[in-house]
Amino acid sequence: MGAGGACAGAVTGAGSMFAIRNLMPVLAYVYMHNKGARHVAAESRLREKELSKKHEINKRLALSSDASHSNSGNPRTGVKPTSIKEKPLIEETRRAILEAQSSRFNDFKGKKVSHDSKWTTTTSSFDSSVAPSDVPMELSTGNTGLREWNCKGESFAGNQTQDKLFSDRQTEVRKRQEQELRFTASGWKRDGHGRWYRDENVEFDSDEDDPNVCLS
Amino acid sequence: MYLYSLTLQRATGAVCAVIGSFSGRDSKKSAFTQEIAVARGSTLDLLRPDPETGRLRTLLSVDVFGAIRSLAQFRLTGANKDYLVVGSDSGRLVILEYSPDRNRLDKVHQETFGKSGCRRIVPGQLLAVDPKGRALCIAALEKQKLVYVLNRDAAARLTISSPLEAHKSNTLTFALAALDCGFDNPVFAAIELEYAESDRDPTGQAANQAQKLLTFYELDLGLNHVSRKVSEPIDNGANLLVTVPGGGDGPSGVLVCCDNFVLYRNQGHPEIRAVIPRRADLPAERGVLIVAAATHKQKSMFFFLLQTEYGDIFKVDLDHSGDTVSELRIKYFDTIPVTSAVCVLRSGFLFAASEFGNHALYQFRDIGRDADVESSSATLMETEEGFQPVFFQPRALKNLMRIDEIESLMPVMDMRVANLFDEETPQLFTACGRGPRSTLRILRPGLAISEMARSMLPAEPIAVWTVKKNINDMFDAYIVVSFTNVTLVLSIGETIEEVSDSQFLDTTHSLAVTLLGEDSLMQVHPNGIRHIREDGRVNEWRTPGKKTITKVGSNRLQVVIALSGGELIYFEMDMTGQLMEVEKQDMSGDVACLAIAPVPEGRQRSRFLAVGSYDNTIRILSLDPDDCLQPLSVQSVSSAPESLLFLEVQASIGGEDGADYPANLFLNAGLQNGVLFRTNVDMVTGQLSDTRSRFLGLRPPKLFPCIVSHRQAMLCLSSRPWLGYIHQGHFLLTPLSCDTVESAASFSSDQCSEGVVAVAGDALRIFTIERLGETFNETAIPLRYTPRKFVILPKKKYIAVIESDKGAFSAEEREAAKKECLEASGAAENGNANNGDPMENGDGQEDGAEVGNTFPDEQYGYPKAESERWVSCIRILDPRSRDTTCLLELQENEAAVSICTVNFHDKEHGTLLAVGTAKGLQFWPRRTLAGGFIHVYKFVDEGRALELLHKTQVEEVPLALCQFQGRLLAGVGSVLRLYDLGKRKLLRKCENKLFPRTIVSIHTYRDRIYVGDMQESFHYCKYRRDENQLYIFADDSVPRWLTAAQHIDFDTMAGADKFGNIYFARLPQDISDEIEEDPTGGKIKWEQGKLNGAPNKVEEIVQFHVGDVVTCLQKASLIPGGGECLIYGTVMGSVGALLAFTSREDVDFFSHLEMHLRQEHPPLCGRDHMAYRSAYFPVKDVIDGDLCEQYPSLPADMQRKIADELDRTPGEILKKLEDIRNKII
Repeated sequence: MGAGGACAGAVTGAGSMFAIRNLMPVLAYVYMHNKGARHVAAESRLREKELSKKHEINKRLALSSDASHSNSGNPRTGVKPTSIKEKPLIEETRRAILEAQSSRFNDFKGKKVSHDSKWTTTTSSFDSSVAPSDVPMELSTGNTGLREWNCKGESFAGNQTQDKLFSDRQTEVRKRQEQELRFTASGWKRDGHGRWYRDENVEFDSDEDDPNVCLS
Repeated sequence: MYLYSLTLQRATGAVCAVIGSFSGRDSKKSAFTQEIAVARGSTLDLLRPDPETGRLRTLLSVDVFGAIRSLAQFRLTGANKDYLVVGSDSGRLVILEYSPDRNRLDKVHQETFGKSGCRRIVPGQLLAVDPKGRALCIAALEKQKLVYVLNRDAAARLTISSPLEAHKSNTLTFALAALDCGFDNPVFAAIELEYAESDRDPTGQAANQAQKLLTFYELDLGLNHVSRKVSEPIDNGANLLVTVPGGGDGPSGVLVCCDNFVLYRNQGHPEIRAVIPRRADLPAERGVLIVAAATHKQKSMFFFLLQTEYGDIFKVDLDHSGDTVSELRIKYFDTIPVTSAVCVLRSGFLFAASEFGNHALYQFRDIGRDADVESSSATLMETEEGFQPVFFQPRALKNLMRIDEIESLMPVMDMRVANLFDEETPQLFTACGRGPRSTLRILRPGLAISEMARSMLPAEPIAVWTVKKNINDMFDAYIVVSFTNVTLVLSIGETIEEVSDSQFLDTTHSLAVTLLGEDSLMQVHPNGIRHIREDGRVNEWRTPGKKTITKVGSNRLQVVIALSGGELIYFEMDMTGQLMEVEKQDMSGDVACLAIAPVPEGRQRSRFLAVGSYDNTIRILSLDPDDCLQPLSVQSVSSAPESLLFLEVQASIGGEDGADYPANLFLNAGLQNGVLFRTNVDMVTGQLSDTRSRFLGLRPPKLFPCIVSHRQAMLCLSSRPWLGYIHQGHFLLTPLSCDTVESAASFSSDQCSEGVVAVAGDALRIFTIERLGETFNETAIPLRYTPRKFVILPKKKYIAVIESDKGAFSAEEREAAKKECLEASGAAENGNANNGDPMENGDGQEDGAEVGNTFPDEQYGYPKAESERWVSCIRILDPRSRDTTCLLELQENEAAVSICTVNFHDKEHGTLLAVGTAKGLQFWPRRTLAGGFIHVYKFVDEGRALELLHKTQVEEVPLALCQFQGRLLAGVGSVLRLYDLGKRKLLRKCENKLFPRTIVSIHTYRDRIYVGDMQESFHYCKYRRDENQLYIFADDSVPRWLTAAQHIDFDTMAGADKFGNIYFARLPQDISDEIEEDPTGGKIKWEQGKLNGAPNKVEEIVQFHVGDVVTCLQKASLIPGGGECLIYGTVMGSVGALLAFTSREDVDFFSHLEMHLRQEHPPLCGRDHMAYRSAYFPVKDVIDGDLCEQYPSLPADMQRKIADELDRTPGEILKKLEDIRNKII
């Protein structure tokens, strides 16, 4: 492609009658040249790459929209949108829970858009909330959900029990997430079925907790 | 970011030193005025020993902005003054002349010969001058040698010829010396090695057979030509040449110092060889090399002092008749720490510029005439195994006696700034020195004081004065101490004791006590003035009515008192010695303080009275009879003045200790808000100008006059005492390192000519102020081995140090060997059970004091072990009591290399200490090791002791450790690894192997990890918890050999490389934002990479060449409430700071000032300032404060010229310079 472009540039650059007369054959050459095997291969490679990129982007978009959907739909799970994008299984379970919940809080779901706009997600505040390295991580993760929920909560007014249930669940999910995070950080991984297994490159103590037991 | 670089402590180590009579002026009076020129990296110092006090005094210290590589001195025939030749990295030969009148070095000649820099073919490393001062040779390590002919013109000025070349390609030069051949043609000798053949021969056979040559170059003065006269093979261990006196004083020729031998060589003379005696305990594989040499020549005799690499000094004598040498004798002389240069002074002193640690001045007690171990060329025995060695045992000093010591921090291995003592300013903790001379030094900004006496008083005094009985007396007669209701008079004699016959009123407290006129005393108390005449008569003036005196101001002839209510009464002494009331004046309100300027010389009275009022003003009133007590000028100040003092600076035209400056009168005021306010008083009109203020402390400064180096100085007593004094022409205001003082006065007696008497609490203290002109005073705590790193344990304020040495024995082995030695020698066991006590610090000095047969290791060095052996220890030190609370000696050839405290989350132990070690580490022929370990210790006994929790083996040297999110990050070779604490070992949780060479530093901030690579600068990393992954998102595109690193802010790191540069690397803001906003943290991009590295590159935003290897960087503030600056310590033992500018105006001002100084005041050694600061990378956004601070030393007209260019006055520039320095320290 590059060579063809250079040729064309040279021809138009000459600007004489002679050049114009010769333009047609040159274009033909270029056309033929670009039909060459290497060009074709390169082009197909490029196309493939673009396609895969598009695919990847689509996937991510879908995931992120899912995530944002779940966030906006359910603030209790929306603590860390990035942390759940690559786990379709959990995602499915989560969505199931979400659906179950949303059917119970119908009126809340209706307010989704307005809530969405009230996320305060400034990176700087996010940064500053992360504790310096010498503070135990529990503390800092306790603050990671700094994307504050600014909803005034009119829709919940008068619904005390629901509110309580809601916050209980929220803390529960958060706690579980934190636990999961702790296990991943200490070297546990998950297989396709959501079961935990030990990363072979990581060392463990003999009496370390097994997430399969702890989290079941 | 713009930075201001300022050296706080100039380099303290020494590269080379020469002795000469540079001032030359006393040559007629006494022939013994000699100075020592010491090169300390980029500073050149001129020292002079004071034969009376036995102390070395720094006459001059100049920053030359270049690396001084060699020094030599010479004298033209018939002249009485030496010149100094400097070989540096400037590509120029510089000849300097010291001018004692102006106390400065002047450039006499500056000859450019080629490229600049410290390269192997740039001449400057080797320098030799013909002893008759007719020619000098400057050589490079390879190929180049240039000979200059020195002469003088009709006006007796030094002239220098164009250079004559004596180059030889493919030749390395090891040493160079000029032969003393009287007035024959000058001859230079060099140890050379030709490598052309070795280079061409791939089998290496030629390299094995390479032969060193001793080559003689002759300068034919008639033909003006240099010829390579003789080249003879010489011992391949030859490393140093020493000129032997000739031309009638001796046989001429050179001493060639080789491995284990000293040879005498001359053209056409057979080689005379003698073996250097060996220490009895030296392993057979180790040779003995001479590292420093000095020649002492008197009319009838000469001898040489040669020092070995172990510190032993040998005296070398030659037996000769005419030009024939018959015998060479080497006799053990004494042992002192290893030096980089030794200078013998004609006045009987020896200056030893130590390689590491403090320098010393010794006095000769003898010149080694007693019998001692001696080897001689006559008794040299050659056997089948080689020459028969001669053994000796080092002994205590016999011929030398140490009389003074100059502190040296060289090398600063690690540094921390912290306020562990809860003082007003933080302390600098530096790990210094090497081997047995290692120390932990605590540096405090301020001058050191040495207390001469301290005595308790019955109550808490409020003020103290000293008075002489007669103005012509040398010493003070009385110390008068005032309490709240009584006055105590002490007389100064042999002892200081209370007296009652002084006629001072002792039943009331005093406001002032002073000498009045020639010989009468005055005491001012609340109810009056008591004037005590010389003959014992007492005149008493009483206050009118019920008024009391509140404030007093006086000088030798004038007294002003302020009465309650604000009335001023002015008295003058008349011709008869009577104190007469002259004038009265009512002030509007109460007077806060008073001061009268000193009486100018040849005048009857001073014209100025300063009155401080509570309405925040200071008024200058006239004391002239015409307009007595009329206001001359008014100055408003920020707070009510508490104390006033006029300081008169007498005119100076240079001299030993100063530059030119006119007479000046300064008014100093201590304000109630703790600020010292200083202003210039016009000596004619009394107008105030050029005001400066400085915050001194929380208490209002009280000002007292005193005398420092025969000049008027000022003590300012705030929450700590400060001294304002003039040093080398500059007014300096420096804190004193002592507790709060209530009141003070100058003190002069038989024992202490210039001291200070002070009251603090209920104690009376007499002290002297030492080492004027220095920024820091230090306290040293000896260590056992070379300190590598240390950490401060924040809770207990203890310090954990790791120390290690190669080729030494451990303390136990040394102890065992000592015992064996004692038993073998039949000495009675003296039963010192605590000899092997591991709790002592340096373990040498104490032992030396207890056991007569062993000597301090600090002086004698450790016994040498096999070179591959390591000894190492971990020490917990309490800096307050200076005690070692725990000392763990590492076993099995392990050496500690890194240390950090770590607090594992979820684990029960609390803070732990992690120490990285390497076992069996070898550097040659290539780096190998048996294994690396990370030890984890827990603190027991309230943090005073350590207990090993476990030890984890790693495959490489763990050079960096750091806590991160409740875990331990370790740089193990080129792998960054995250460890968690396990029951039996550390558990590897995550790692990244993508670092290029070796990780040497780790810093963390939030979730970012900043990793420093040994050769490849910084790498910025992130840890993702949800994926348990460490990844690099940015790195530096410049390969940097990192020696020190410090985290500055979220995106910025400061680093120093081994070529002496400091730089700041910053991640561009947009990239930083992108990474923080990207939910993957830039992971997708990271997978792509750029330029074989991380996808993002940091920018180097600051570049500065310090000219010295920076070993530690620390962000800290040295003044209370001041902004943070970056403090660095270097191998040469200097401490500097980089301060960020806060305003654009300042940047413009200082960059212009720097530009003008570069033009108008080029550096002394000929290196271009800009080129020096840009030696490796063009200097960027750093202004050299050291150059700017040379502004006050310029001639006045030059100062004015530069000030005009900057649209300011010289005073404003000086004020700016002072201000910015005060922001740092």
